[in-house]
Amino acid sequence: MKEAERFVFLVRDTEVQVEQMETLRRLKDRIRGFKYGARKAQDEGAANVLFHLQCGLNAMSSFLAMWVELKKPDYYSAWSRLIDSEEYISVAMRASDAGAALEAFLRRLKETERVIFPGFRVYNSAGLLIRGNCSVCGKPFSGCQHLEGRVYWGRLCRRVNVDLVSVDHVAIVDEPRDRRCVMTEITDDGFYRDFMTWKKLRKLEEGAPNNKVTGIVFSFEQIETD
Amino acid sequence: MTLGDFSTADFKAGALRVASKFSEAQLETDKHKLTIDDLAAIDDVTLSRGANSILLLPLNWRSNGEEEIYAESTDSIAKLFSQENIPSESLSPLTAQTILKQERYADWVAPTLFVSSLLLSQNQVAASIALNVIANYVTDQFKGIKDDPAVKLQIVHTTLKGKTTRKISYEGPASGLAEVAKVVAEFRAEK
Repeated sequence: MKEAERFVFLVRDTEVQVEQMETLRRLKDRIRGFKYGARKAQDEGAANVLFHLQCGLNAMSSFLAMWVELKKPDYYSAWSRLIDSEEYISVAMRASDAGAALEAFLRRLKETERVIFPGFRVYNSAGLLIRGNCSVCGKPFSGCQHLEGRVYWGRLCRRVNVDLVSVDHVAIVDEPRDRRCVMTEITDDGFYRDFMTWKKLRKLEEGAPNNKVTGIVFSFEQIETD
Repeated sequence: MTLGDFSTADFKAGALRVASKFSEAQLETDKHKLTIDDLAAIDDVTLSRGANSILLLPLNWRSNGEEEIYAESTDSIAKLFSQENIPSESLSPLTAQTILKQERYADWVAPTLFVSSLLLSQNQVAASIALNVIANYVTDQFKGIKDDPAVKLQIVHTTLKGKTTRKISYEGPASGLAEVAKVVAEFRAEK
């Protein structure tokens, strides 16, 4: 992690950053292997600590990926990688108490967010009617004792195999659950503009209202939870 | 009745003033919103089930004949209450077929809780423990994301003889649930 911290800057060479991501991935895979071993040995505490490390490495790797995406440039992907990194830290904090290092890392992510991105005053938010199973034991969620959002045996409990019954509504909110659901286009002064770059994309259609927005309503991107 | 604008620091005092009004009252600060509304009486079956446990109600519990839709958090809260020995049950059994409403905004939406004075007369701390357990659970879920996450919660309360039914609606930080518990406690003695 300390080594990788040297490369989470815009000016670092992309190839070097990609190499660092690969190094982190290999280390993470080893730690994940140890975690499976801890599970076999029936040691939940050790499995959770190892999952904590796994999430920390994933957070750093996502942060590196954000810089790589910025230089492509793919700004929406870069934004998603930053959110990945923040989510990994949240899960790591839930997996095991870890001292101040992650909090410092989180502060750095927040500062990067403020400096690099324009800020999103509104996001998209959908209300969904769903059913689903538990990611820890695979049973219907109501049929087990695992709590959503908690970490068990080095694995985040969440709803999987989600059966989408229907979409209840879509709303624009200032604080969404998934901050990947950003606006991508907005109309301004007779043009569609890219929300991130503010570049003019195309002319607004004749007679169309000058208050149209396009955005990501639902993101299927999910962080690694096992 | 609106009790006027309170600063956040006044939420504690304001919550109890709302409780003292017993019905149709509202308190709004820059972070909290607490409303008490009168409701039509609850049916006897629900009332008797609520005598011994906190009932987890679907979001559309007042809509007759509609398929029940529960807040997404309901199954986790049902398990959590069970693990913490808080007497509770859902209005109908939660199964693989139960439909849950998943909100994609950041506020954490709790299941609607039915808490009767009859239950509170036997178990004075049931509601406060339940709300404390919820507050701790939610705070844990938002570690690293928000220090004091926003919660939406409704509590339906009936007086001892079921004569008065009211809904306590709370929107605000998880830390404010402790005050909501005090409001429920205020209602406990009412006949």
